[in-house]
Amino acid sequence: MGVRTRWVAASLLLLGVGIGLTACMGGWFNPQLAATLIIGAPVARGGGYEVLISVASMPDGGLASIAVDDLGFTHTNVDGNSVVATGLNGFVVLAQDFVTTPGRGRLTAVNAATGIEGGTIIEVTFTATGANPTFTIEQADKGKVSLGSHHNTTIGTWTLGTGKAYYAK
Amino acid sequence: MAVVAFGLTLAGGPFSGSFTSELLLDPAPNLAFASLDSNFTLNYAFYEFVTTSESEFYLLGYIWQGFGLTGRLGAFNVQADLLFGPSTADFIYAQEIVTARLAGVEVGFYWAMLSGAVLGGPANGAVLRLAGSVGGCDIVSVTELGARIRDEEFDGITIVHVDTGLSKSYVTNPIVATQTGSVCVGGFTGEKVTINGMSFGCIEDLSTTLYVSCLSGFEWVRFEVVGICSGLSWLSLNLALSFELQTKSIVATPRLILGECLCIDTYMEVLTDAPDNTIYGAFTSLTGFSLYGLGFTYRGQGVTVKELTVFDTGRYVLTTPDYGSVIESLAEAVDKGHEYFPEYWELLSIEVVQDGCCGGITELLINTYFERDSGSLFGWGMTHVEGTFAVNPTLSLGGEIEADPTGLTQLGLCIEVSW
Repeated sequence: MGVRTRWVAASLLLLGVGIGLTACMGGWFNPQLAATLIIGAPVARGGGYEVLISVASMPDGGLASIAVDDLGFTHTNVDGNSVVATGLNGFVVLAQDFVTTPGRGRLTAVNAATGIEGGTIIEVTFTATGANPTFTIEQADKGKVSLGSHHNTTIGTWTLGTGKAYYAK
Repeated sequence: MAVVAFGLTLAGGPFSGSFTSELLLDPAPNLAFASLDSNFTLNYAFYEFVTTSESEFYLLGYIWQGFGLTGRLGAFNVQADLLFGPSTADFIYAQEIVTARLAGVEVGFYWAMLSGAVLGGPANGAVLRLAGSVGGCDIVSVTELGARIRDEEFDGITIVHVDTGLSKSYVTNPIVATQTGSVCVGGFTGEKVTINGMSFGCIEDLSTTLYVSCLSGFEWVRFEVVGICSGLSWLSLNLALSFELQTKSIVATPRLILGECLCIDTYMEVLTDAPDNTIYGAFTSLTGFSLYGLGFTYRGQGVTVKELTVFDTGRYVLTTPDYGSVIESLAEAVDKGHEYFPEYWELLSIEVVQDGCCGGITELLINTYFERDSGSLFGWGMTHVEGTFAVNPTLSLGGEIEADPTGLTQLGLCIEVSW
């Protein structure tokens, strides 16, 4: 009898903690799970800079291919000849060009082994030609980006970056 | 809680902690500064609790500030975590875990909140986990109230800083798909029941897992049996029977039973004509065996010598030292977020761990990797050397050097102070 009473008391306590904490937060939230391609800001590394390209909430087994058409990337104060894109987490960069059109660039990368639902996929390194270099895909150029899933389907609905400094996976 | 934890750490008492700083230099062209990663940890113990403050700096940025609390309150074990992003002045994540063993039942209450500063947030939720044994069967019930916890089926949550790639991982994930305006928001979102150790007919150890969600109703039920004898002494099968709403699948995964032969580990798998080497889908026959790796390990008197060779580099990889320097399938490494070397097929490792002359531990690790098409002597790909020298029980100095056929690629210096 004593054990049952303690069990009931503990259960009520746990329930109370949960309800209390939830009430403190002002209610429940509905998480946003939109597929997103994220281009990080340049971070100084060694004598140059590094940009991480990541994805979050990718559907259909995750992202397995990405193609950024000509003039898809935009960069300023960057030495185009120094730009090197390297695949991460199973991605392999098949082709890249940041030289033909000054200030612009393109690349294609695939992951033959698996898809990435959330995480980094490409690391871009370069040397700067001036202060505060930028390397990104502008919203106006989103149409030049094609994403493919691990299930061999086109990922048609996705957003480009969000201005947020963190993502969860 | 942050204020309380910080206040307690300032209030004096039994402190412990550590400060670690690692400076990396890029040798080419002229020892340029590459990165500076520093961690400062401060613990404060009181009664049966320990509060922890963890600060992480990268280059000149203050990336993470975490606070933790662990301890016992009567029959309850309590753990709490808070994470802030100082570089953006954001609250990021909070988690509370309360567990207890009551009347033979393990009760766990998990609660988490993710802020709107993180892509996907804001989100919050809780999980009630009950586990116990009845009649020789182990039963686990996980009731999801807008969150999931890390287990065999689901990951916890990893929060990543976009620019640096630095991350923090926690058990309770409050990002669960719901439908706006549905009854699933703010209430029950899923229930998972797992029963292990059931007997059914001639099967002595049957595991079953049922998962239902508020969003879709019935999600799946799975029955698993491990180690089915095939009649061949060297071959067994694992069987998984899954029912989803519109599909049923049965997957038999063949496993080789290898005896003790010398001290060299063999990494082998059974091949079938199905793309994933299972007995399912496109399978019609076993097609052969694949020896995809070899391993050798010797341990004695503080010295460990390890040699690993990967033959099938398209599907298997060597993980980095941080992830154990083991042979792992590429798909598994990517899925679990393990770091690996895609370009190397062989590792020769020598590790020495000895007591320091003046207290503490002195360590030396030499890892040499070989590459298939490097064109250098013996196909040498890269050598990584790192060492830690204990000056006294509280101060250690370390360094690391990395070189590949192009020359010296990295130099690092490390200092760790603990008290």
